[in-house]
Amino acid sequence: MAETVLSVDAVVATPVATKRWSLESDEVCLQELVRRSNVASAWRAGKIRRGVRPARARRCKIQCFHNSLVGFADWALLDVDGRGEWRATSAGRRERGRLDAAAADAARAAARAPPGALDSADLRDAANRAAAGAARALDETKAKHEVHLADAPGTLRSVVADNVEFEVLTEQSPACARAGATTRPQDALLAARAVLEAVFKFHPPLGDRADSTVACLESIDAALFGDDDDSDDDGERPGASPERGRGLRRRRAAGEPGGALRPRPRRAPGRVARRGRARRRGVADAAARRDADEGGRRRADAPSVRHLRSLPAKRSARAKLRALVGALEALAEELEKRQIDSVASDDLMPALCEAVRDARIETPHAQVAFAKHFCRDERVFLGVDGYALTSFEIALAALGDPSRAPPS
Amino acid sequence: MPIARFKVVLLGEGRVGKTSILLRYVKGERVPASDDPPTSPRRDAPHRRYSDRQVSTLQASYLDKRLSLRAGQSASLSIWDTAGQERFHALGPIYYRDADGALLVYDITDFESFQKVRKWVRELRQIVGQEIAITIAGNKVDLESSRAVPEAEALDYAASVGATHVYTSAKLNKGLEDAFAELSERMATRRNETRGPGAAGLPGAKRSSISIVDDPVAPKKKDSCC
Repeated sequence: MAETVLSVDAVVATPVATKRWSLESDEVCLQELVRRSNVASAWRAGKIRRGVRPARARRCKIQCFHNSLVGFADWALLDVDGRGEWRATSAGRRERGRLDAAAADAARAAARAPPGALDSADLRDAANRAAAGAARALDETKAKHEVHLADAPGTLRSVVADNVEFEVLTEQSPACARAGATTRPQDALLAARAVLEAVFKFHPPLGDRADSTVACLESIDAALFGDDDDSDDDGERPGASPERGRGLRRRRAAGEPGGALRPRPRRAPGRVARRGRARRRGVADAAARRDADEGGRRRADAPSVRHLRSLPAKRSARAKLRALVGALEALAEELEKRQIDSVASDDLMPALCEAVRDARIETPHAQVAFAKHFCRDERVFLGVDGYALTSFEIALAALGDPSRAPPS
Repeated sequence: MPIARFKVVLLGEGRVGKTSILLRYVKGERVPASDDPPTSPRRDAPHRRYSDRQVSTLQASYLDKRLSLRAGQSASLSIWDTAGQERFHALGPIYYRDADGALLVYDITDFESFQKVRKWVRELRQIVGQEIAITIAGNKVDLESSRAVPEAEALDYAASVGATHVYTSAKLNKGLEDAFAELSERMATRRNETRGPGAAGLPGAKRSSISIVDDPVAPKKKDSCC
């Protein structure tokens, strides 16, 4: 447990370890991605230092609740900034208010306190008072609320790990980063560190096992940096929950952008088709050309290609790996429909090469590098995720050398 | 007791029966041979009867298999099929990295396929080193009458490179269980040897969960001027 908390501090102290991967291809895109989720880089690079005094997570607000924890409120708002204001929204209703004088004093005192103040009784008391005020205003003592400070728009996300649920509110959310409130990568690290510290303090057993620690880290990543995997979430990954990402879905439903890492605009299908036509120039038979053109469009719309195209939009390593597995599974199904018995690698690899070529991912090598460097749990590389990633790498290598490229 | 997870790569020339071995071993399926009588549409084909589509949707390209080791430990094999086409041969090392074991398959009726095994062994030793456990499988022993690879040569070669040699027949379901069981035992033993007893359940050697490393004090650079 103590070791794990040390690593939290070190993540803050060692914000970005980019040297190892910055020389990868497509590094510009990777850099952009890493700026938002570089917590794992320190983890991976083994640059975690002892005894480094962490920077304080100012203005990071965390709402935690855990029913089985005796002595802790059902939910509480931690106003680290000590401004003493709260704003709550629930089911379309919006309320705002101020902490009472004693609570505000406690919050301000806590804000001046050294790191670790998240655990102080005073701050907890202040948070409980704020929570109680918000609950009274909304007349909902048990409901979960989305809470914002008056001058710091934030986002409430769920963090679910090991059956312990935490609600996280942070202005370092992608929405705030996009709005210009903060653009430095350290801010994201501060938020991650604060959340992780709070999570481990309120539920120490999470830090006891590597599995739950990894699940916790992944959940926090998803909460802080956004995880656009909601639509195809199969619920099988650690920490997955239907609740997770609901804030993101709500914003999307309201027509707001989904996060700081918006996917690059996809090429219109027509452009792909035009390229396909150019490639097939010289085909004399007009009917054959039309057929071939339709075939190219079909390939471009194939589920496997769609999975591959979604890669750059995935924000976490696990999400990217799942997209790759999805692409392979879709390919296997496509091959099965073509009456290929017992699809093996001999069938799958050429088909994957074609799908990768058709997907026209702009930064494929960055996707591979990201998945490798930011996967929290490297054991996944032994399994089907690793197989999918390796297959994708091989397809890229084969396509990179024209002599190895599959026939078009 | 933790389940030991091992990555096993399956290598072999085209048509030596890699896919058949894999499906027969993991799913109990038999891939129909060319001389089999025609069957009804493939969804109703007998060899599909035991398919467990929920286990793997990548079919024969990647399969998981769990088995019990002699020491009462459980092992989970992640079996990676590899593309046999010539254009992917040079990319094989990407498949091999971090592999705990390899099953090299040749066809006893095809000497050329045995020659390829030598090449893969060299490559595996070069890329992964001595840590990888290798089993060489002479497949299609049901075609013993057409044997083209002398038994003594195959056995001597396997012994000379520290590999185990087994004979298999996917068609007759012969030797498959033994081949993978023996390979798993050796992989577990090697992992225990390299990382101490009880380490077999841990993931790959280069993997760790949280590592806290003190930064070495950087030596002060000397002034370039002298």
